[in-house]
Amino acid sequence: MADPILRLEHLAKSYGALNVTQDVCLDVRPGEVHALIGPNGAGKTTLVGEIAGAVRPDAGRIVFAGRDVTHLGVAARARLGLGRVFQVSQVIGGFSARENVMLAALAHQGGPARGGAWRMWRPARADAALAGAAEAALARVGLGARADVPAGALAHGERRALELAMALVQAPKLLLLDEPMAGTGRAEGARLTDLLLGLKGTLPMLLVEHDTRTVFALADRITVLIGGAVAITGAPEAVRANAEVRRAYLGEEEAV
Amino acid sequence: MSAMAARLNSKPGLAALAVALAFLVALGLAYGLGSTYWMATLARMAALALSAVSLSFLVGQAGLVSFGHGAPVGIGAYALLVAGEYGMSDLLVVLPLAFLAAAAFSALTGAIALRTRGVYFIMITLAFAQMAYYVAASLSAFGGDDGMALAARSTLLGARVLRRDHGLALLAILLLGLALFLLGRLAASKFGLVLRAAKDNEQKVTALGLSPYGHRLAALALAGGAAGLSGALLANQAEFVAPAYMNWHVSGLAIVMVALGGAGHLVGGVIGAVVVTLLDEALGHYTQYWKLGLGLVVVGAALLRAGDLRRLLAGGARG
Amino acid sequence: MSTVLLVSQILNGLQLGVILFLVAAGLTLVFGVMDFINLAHGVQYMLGAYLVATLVRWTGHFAVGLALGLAGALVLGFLMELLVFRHLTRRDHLEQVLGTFGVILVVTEGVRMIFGPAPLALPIPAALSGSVTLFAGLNYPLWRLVILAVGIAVALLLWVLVHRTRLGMRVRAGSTHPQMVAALGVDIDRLFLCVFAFGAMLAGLAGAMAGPLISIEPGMGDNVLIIAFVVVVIGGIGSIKGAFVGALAVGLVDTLGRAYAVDLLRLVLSKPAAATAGPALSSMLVYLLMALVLGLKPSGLFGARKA
Repeated sequence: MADPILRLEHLAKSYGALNVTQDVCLDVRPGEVHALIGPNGAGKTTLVGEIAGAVRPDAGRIVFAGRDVTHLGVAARARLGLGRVFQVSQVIGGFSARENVMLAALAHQGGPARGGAWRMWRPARADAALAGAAEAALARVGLGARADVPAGALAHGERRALELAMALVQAPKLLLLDEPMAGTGRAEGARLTDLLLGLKGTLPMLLVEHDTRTVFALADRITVLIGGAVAITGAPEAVRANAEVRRAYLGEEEAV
Repeated sequence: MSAMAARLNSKPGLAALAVALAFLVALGLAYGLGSTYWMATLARMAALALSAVSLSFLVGQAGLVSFGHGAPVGIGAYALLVAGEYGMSDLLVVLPLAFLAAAAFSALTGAIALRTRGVYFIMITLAFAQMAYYVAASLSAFGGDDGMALAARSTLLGARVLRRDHGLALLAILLLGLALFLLGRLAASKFGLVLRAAKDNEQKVTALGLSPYGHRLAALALAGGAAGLSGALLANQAEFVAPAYMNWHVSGLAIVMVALGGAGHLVGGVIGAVVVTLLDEALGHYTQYWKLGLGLVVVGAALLRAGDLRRLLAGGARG
Repeated sequence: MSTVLLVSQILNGLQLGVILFLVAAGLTLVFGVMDFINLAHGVQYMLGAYLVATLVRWTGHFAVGLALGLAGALVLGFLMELLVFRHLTRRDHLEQVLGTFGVILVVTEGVRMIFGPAPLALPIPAALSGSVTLFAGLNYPLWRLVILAVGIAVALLLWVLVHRTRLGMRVRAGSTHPQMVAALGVDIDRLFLCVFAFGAMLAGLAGAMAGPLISIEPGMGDNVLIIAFVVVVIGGIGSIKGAFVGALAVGLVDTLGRAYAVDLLRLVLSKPAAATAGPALSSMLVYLLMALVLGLKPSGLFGARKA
């Protein structure tokens, strides 16, 4: 089997006496959708921070795309190909959707505008390659017709799709999705799930999600986090059957 | 950002040309009427506008509210004075010198100041400007607290082109137009895109793999350099340089200009500078307490959410 | 370096420190509770001095004048908050700087119009004038000791108010978690009004205490304002403890710097060079201190949050 794209080795993080991450080991294999679930307070948010580079773990190692990135910051990990969709949509509200994706494309090393973030003379909008890449990414997430709308004026689900387009345009080696379904309505959520299903297989994803319906629809493997530690990692059926998981987490949701 | 500002942002050349033409027409009128007073005032106005435009770039494009913009202005002025004392007074020497000295100061202090955010940034830029002020006040060879008169205005290849105020005004208008054009290009470039994005949402910009620190530092240096040129012009106009160039009131007034004119577009800096200078001149004629009138206008503008005089002038008001 | 000089300079520094604390206390709370940058706080200091000086002359009685003056400063604080500052609190910092800078211009020029540019005198009350012998060789002005005592008393009072009362708890919570406090149903606007007016009165008290030592003139608030900002930023925005520590540090550094900068520079520089650089260095010391603190701790010593 090929090397995993992301490997967490014995990650630990505590705030005072509170151990929010305990000896977490996890890997994401090329092409798979790996879901991370757990009840509230299981330490998902902290773990996402540790993977993204915003939270420094007390112990352990993070290997991404074959490199030890434990001591790299957020921007450096992003440049190595870690794409991210935030729990609360993070877009540049004053920019149009197109400008948002152009910015993302600009930041992508080896993308259409290599080293372009320091270009001081040519107007950004005059770069056809950049605009073309943005256009394509927007079309891919179904926002082709909304390219000129200010991101701040987009609907909730659209903003999430825009964030996805911003991640996709950077051709990430791994997509880190932090609760993409949070706050979406039923129809929006279904559309988003379809979108992610369409992307499945084209790039590996680590899906941190509360909504079990989405998780079981998308995931190849699931890791359950309880009390900051990994309770089980396995195929959806195995996780569904696990007694401890049922008790701690799935018990609250009958429909699974 | 208003539609008008967006349109102006996409045409930096047009904005620069329009501003330069307006100033040139006014200068032509003053020249035709033989009013040395208005020619001098226009020269000062254009120089102040240059400083306000550079601050407007920092505030509006980079989101960096510097409360120490008087420092690079004053450093530009002192560069001119010091160079003059060493016998260098050619514009081709002193202007680059003023630019570089002010840009270097802004970059060095900015490297530390950029570690902070928000109010802390406002305050640390103020602190650095105060330091520059006290250093200038201690330069006893250059007049100390009281400042010092220039030996003569700058020359161009030996020609005394700035001898009369209309020559100085022309130079100021040229530099102002150039700054508007170049900073406007910069704002519309990919560099400017990153600056504005980081102003809007720094967390996202970082998560995209960009580190805005370098961009901000470069913006500070460039704007500081432009402010230095403004200082060199002001020093030529007054033929006098003193620590008062860096007084915190000067920095505050620069912010007032930017906020009055609207930080959404660089031209806002020009509008603010013109309004403040005209108020200064108009009220100054009638009362020694002209600052009271200026203060009332400023408070009124802030309360009315004017923030953007252009909207008021256009008759539009935002709720 | 004589002990007498050193002790008296340290006392001077502490006394400057408590004056700064009185000004900075209101500033830091207003900063913290409302994320409001108030450049016009120095104006309150100046108004306090003018009010007390005028009322002392009218009433012919220091204590009565002081009490009336402080009440006046409190009322002016309420008025200014209702008329101007209230409307600026939810704006961005640029608009706050614009509005409060305008207030400085208006009030400073207004005072100049009413009282004229000439400084006003505020005599030290007879009972508190003169000096006391602290130890052999050191006669220290009694009034400066009074300032120290008042400053420390106010600091203690504030500590009790902020840490031991319901109102104080709200203020503390408001300066760190404003959304949460608002969500709990505390009327942030009214809280702000009280904090603001109280801060204005403390600044006025500082102006009145300093009045007899300096000349009371319209621009007197400017320099104090800038130094008070330095104090607030060093201490960390919103932190009373930070303001106290910052104020004493700034007071000591500034005073001792002015007293000893030239002597210290003589150790590394020639005499004329030290004589030139000394005054500049001593004026810059507090700003250097601030740059140093922010360079190491970008949110100040006791900053509760990233601003």
